Amino acid sequence: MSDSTTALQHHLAHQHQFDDADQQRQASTFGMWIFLLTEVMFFGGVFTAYVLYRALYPDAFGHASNHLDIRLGGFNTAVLLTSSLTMVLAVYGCQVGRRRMFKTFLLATIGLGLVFLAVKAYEYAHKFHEGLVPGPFFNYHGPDAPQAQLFFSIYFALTGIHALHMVIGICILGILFFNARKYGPDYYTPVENTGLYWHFVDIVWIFLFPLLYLILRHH
Amino acid sequence: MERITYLNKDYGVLSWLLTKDHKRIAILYLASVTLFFALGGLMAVLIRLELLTPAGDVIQADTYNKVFTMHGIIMVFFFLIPSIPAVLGNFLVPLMIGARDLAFPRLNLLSWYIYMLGGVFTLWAVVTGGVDTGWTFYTPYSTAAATTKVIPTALGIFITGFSSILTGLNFIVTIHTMRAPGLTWFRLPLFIWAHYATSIIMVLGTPVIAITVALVGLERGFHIGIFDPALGGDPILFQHLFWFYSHPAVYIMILPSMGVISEVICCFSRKSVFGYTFVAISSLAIALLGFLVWGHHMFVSSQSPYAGLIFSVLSFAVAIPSAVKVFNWTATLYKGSVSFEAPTIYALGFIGLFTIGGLTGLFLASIGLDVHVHDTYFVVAHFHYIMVGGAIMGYLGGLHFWWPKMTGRMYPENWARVAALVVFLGFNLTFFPQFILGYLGMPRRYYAYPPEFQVLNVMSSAGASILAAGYLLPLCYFLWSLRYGRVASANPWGAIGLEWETPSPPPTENFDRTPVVTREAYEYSRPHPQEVPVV
Amino acid sequence: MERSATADQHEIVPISTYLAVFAVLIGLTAVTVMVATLDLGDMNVVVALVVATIKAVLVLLFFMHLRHSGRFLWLILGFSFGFMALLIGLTLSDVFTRGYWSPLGPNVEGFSLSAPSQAAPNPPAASHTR
Repeated sequence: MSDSTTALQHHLAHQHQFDDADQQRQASTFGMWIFLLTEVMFFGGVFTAYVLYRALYPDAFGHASNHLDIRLGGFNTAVLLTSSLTMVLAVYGCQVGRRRMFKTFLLATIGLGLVFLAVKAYEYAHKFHEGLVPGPFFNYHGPDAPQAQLFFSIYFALTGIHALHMVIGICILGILFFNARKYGPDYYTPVENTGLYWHFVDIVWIFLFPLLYLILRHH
Repeated sequence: MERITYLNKDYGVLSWLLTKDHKRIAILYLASVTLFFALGGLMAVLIRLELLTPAGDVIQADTYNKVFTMHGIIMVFFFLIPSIPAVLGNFLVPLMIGARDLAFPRLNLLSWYIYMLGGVFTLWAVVTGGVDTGWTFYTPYSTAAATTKVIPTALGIFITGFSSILTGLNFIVTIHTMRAPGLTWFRLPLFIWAHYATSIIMVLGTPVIAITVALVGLERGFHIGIFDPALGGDPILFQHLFWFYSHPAVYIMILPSMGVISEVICCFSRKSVFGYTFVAISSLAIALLGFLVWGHHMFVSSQSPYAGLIFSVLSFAVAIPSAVKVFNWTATLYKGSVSFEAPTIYALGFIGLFTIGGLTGLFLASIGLDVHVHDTYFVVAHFHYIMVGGAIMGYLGGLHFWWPKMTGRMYPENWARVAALVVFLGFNLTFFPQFILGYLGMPRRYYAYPPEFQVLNVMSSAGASILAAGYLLPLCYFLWSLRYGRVASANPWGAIGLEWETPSPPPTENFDRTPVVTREAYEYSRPHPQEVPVV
Repeated sequence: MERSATADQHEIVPISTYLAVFAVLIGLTAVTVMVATLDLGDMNVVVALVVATIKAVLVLLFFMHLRHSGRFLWLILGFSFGFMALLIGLTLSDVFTRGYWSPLGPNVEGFSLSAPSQAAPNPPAASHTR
């Protein structure tokens, strides 16, 4: 795809293996959904460990969970939900040909994603200072320290893999932003599919937040 | 003037390494899997050499552990899982459905590079010391005690898994969205059904092994405790996660082979398959039921007997669709006009050997019996009957069947028939004694054994050398045929299928015009212009 | 040709719908946090998961346009969660039925089945038959 190709030409053009642009669009969207299916199974392995150990050690997990900052977690949840809104508005802007709206909301989504990651980085650093990172520097003051370490292992595994997915998503959004002139009402499939990926990452966090931060918040 | 085919359209290394043509990518995979097969085979040679004598005298015990581990890892992840889907599947899926390529050609090429990258990591691990955990990486040995290259190997498997996922994704989308006009689901070749079912497994299961080996790496590197009992973790959790993928993985290894057998049996008995719908649906049934049985690898692991009961019953159930296929192939042969080309010999061998492997699987699914033969050579024999007697024979049969299509050359038929028989004989001599050894109590993964087992072990090693000769023969004559083999027509077998309605080898775009399908899948009974073999 | 599988992507959802869904999502997040501060015993996790599922479904239906998509995508979705449930469910069926037949009883060292709902009944000693 050369830089000078317009959206209209994309509407008429399609990759040689497809019969028409419509088939190409359907195939790529279908492909993205199947990829998201594989991602569900990928996270599913760690969720299995989480479910098992939380069921075995509910108190240890609850007390360990209370070391997480619920305000930061809640804030990040709001940030990510907002980024899903801006993402869907970016797709909308592309669909109706409002390129400035499209680019603005792409930037907003990237920005919100970066805010999320910044908060996460702060949380991780704080955990390290508190001695809650599993491994040789783990220093937990409380009952059931080994089981608490299990909680934190799963916390870092889940949020770490989630953060990695966010980084990849932000990079893809950046690429979309720089290539924004290629997309328009007649060709916005890559934007739509990136949106699907982004919303999936949001859905994972929708589950992670209560499962990690809200185990034992009642006293 | 020479006809332009996918082989001579462009020349140069880069035109191959940067190709997006599914047929060229299939050839890239063919070269790679053959290399890995040779490496895994070398490991097997070392194993059988050591087991010629009861004492451990060829290699040390630690080395032996590494050898059987690498044999398993290389054969499973770098040969069996990719072999038919990545070689024959990549080549044939678009052709069989009348498409110009797969849905995502660049993803297909990426798949191959990812596979090679994973292979490089694993080979590096082999060369710098190897892994000795067994291909199953059981915890806590792999996470806490092993001093070998666990992490690089785990990384290699993690990376290669994505190759599998992308191939499966590509096949599913292609089969759903790019079938030729008139090609309804129930007119599809059974090879396509088999690859579709395989792709479902690849897509659902492989991510779980990826995350599992990642967790092993994290545990080993940071002692996070997920599989460590001292920290409240459960080593059996690893086994659940591992086998959740690795059992369906064995269906990834056998289903494509079954697809090949369906094609070969129909062509060489000149009959439509008996019970097309049942065979097609049985592929899906195997794929889905295969996800419900993983605990049968864990009957003696301290898994709860209640869970064991559930897994045992489900394991009996998963045998049923496989049996349906065997019955239907047999019924297809019945009163067919059978000819014994090399593919037929491989297919007939498959049916017999897969049946034995499958039945012994039922023995293993019975908890009481499994308690006695678990971790013995009985298990080793069982899965080699399926993987080698089944999957590899299907792979070889398929290579022979579609060789003329892929290369435009015929292989020498008499040499091929001899090689097929040598493989069959060598295989049985290698692995049948192992059933007996296992039943008598010889444990697997041991480099020394009591002297009373020596005769059977010598038979097994002798068989292995014959099997090796049987594998070397096709390597030689396939290469020979590229230069000196008889030039093949579009349809040398008089087979029915869209892939036979384009020249051998096909042009890059596969078809001049998209075919329109008006017939059912295997209408050998209806007169068809290409039914007379034109050689 | 599977035209219906991913159906009509050209349907353009109005901005007001998006904003309404967003408001509901934020509201449900607040609900999740507030309910977490109440002591509902075992129902805490159930409520949390139910609310999270509702939020996920809203994102799927409206933001990911599943409302306008073919049924096959719903099938893929069903498969995702079905297989994850399978992995988790059958694994748990092992761990939580181990105590019943073990001569060591339900409280095997290294596992603390401490929550009352998980404690297995002590197997009868000598009369324990298979």
